[in-house]
Amino acid sequence: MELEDLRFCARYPFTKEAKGYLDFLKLDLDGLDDDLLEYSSKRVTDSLSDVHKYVREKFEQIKLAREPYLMKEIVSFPVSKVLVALTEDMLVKKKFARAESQRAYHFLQFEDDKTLEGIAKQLFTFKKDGKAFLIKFNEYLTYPAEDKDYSLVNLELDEGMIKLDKEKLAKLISQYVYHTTLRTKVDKRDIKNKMFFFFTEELKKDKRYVVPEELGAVEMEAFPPCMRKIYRDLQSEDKVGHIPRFVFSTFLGGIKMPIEEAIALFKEQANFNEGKTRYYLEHSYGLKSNRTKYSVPACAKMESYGICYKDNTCRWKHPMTYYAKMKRYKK
Amino acid sequence: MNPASEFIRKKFSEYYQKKGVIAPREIERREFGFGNDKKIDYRHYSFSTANELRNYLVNSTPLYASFSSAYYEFPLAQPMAKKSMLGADLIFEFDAECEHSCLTCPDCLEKAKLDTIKLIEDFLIPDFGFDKKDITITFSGSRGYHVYVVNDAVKQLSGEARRQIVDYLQAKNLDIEGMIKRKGDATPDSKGWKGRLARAAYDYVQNSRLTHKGYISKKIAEGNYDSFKGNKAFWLKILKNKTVNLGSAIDQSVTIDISRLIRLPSTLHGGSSLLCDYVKDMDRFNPLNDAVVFYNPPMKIKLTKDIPEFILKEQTFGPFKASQETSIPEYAAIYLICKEAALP
Repeated sequence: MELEDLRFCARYPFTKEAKGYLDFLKLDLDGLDDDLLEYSSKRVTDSLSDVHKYVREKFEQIKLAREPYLMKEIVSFPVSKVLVALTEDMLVKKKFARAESQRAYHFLQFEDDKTLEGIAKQLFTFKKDGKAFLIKFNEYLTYPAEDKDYSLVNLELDEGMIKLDKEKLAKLISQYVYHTTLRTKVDKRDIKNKMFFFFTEELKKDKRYVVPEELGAVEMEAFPPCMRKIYRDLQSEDKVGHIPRFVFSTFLGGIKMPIEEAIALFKEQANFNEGKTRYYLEHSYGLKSNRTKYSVPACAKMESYGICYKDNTCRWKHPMTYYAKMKRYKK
Repeated sequence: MNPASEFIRKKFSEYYQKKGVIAPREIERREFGFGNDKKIDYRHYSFSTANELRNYLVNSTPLYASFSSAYYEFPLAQPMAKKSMLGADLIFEFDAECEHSCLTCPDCLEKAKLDTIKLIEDFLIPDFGFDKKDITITFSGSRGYHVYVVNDAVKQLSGEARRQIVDYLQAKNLDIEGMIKRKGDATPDSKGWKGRLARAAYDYVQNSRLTHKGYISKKIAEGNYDSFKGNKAFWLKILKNKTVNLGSAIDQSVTIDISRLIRLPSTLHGGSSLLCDYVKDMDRFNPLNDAVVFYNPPMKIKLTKDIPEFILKEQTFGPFKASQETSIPEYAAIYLICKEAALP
C-alpha cells in the first residue's frame, strides 16, 4: 500500500480501505504485541483526557508520519474499541466514542468533495441534488446527533429525504463513527490474551474517566427540581411512568445511593414490588444484565422527555452537575 | 372479583366468542399484557395464532388487552433484555384531554381526531414520505386514537431516533434564529420547518394591520426577515397551530419507549366497553357510534354516582342521580358499569 493510502487509512480507520489493510495484516487479537496494546491503551487515555489536544496532535502526526506509526494508528482503532468495551463503563464508552467522532469530523474538514463523498458512499445510500446530498430520514436517524443544528427538526425534510450540505454530511460521518464505536460489543470469553484485561483494569483505575469528584453522602436537599419532582411523585400512589423511573434510578446510581436506601424510595407506589424494584435498580446501576452503567440524561434530554421541571436554581446543563454544585454550596 | 367485573367479563367473553379478534402483524413475535384492576397487571405473554389469542380472551377474559409495538425473537423471555428485540412499529397516541365533567366528550374526541389527521396529512405523508397504506389508525376504545406506521424504514429506529421524530412534530428545539438568519434560506417554498415558519410569518403579516404589510410579506417570500423580527415566544405563538399536539409526556412516551405495550386493536376497553377499532374512514368515523358493540335490549342498573348527560349511538342518556335505578339499552348500561358509575 502506498504511503498516501496508509495515511488515508490512519485518518479514517473505519473505512473499507482500512478494514482491507487490517485483513491484509491478518490482525489476531490473541497474538497482539504488548506495545501495540499499550499504544491502543494510550490512544484511549489521550482521547479521554483532552479531546481537542488529542485531535490536533493526531492530525499533525498523521500528516508527517511514516509507515510504522501509521500502521499502529490503524491497528489501534479496533483494539482501543475492544479495550473500551471491556471497561463496561458507559461514561468511558461515550467519551471515547465522542473523541473518535470529533477526530473524524476534524479530519474531514480538510478533505475535498470527492474524498468526502467517497467515504460517505461507503457508509450511506444517498442521492445528489446539485451540491446537496439527499439521504433517507431513517438512515440519518440511525446515527442521531445531539447538537441542535443537526437534529431532525432543524433539517429540511421532504418526502422522507433529508437535505444535507457538505458540512452536515461530514457531521453524519462523524456520527456514524460515534454510534458504531459506542455499539462495539465484546464477549469477554472470546478474549484469550490476558494483557487486554490488564490494560482494561489500568483504564478503570485512572480517575480521570470516573466521576470527576467524590460526591460523598447522599443529600436529598441537593436534588435538582426534576429529581425532586420524580421523588415526590414516587411518594404518592400515582403511577410514575417508565422513563422517569429509569432516569431517577440512573440518578440514584450516579450519586451512589446504597441500593437498599434506593429501594425504599419506591415503596410508596401502589404497585411496589421489591424484587422487581431491586432488579430495576441493579440494572440502572449497571450491576445486572450486560453490566452497562447508564448515565443520567442531560437537561436537554430531560426536557425532551417532558420531565424537566426547571426553576431559577437551574444554572447547569446536567442534573448531576446541579447535584454536585448544590452539595458543595450547601457545605 | 366484584359482581360488576364478573358481569362485564361475561359480556366481553360472549363478544370474543362471537366476533373473535384480529391478530396483529407477526403475532408470534409480539409480547402481550393484560389487566383487570389496572391496564396491565401481567405481561410477557405470547400467542402463535389469532385463534390462540381469541381462546385466551374467551376463557380468561381480561378487561384490558395490550400488545407490544416491538417485535421480539423471544417474546416470552424475562427480563426485557432477554427478549431480543428485532424492531418496532412507529406509534403515536392522541388522547383527548377533557377538562369537562362529562363521561364522553364529543368535542374533545373531535379534537383528538383533528390532531390525528394533522399528523398524517401534514407530516407523515408529505415530510416523512410514508405511503397511506403504511399507516393504520385505531380508536383506542376510550379517549383517543392510535396511529401505527408499519414499514421497514421505521422498524429499526432507536428510542433516541423516535424522540427526534416527536421533537420534529412539535417543533421542539427548533432553531428559529438560525433559520431566519441567512437570507433566502427560509421561504414559503422551503421544505420542513423552514417552509412552515416562512408560511406562518407570511400569513401572519397578510392578516395583520401592519402598515407596510405588502413590502414585508414580499421580503418574507424572498427569505428576508430583516423587517420581521420577533422574540422566541412570538415565533412559537405563530407556529403553534402548525405543530402536532402530542399531549402529555406519557402520551409521547408511547412513541419513544419501544418496550411499552399498547391497546390491542379489535379488543374491548374495560374502562368503557367500547371497541378498540380499526378506523378506515377517519372523516366519517364516530367513536360514540361505531365503536359501540353491545345491543339494544333494555337492562336494569343502579347508579352509584351522579352522572351528567351523555351520548351513545346518537341517543342521549341521563342525567342520572346516585342510587337511582333505571332501565336503559344494554350498550349504555355496560358502558356505565365499565365507568364504575353503575351496578348491574
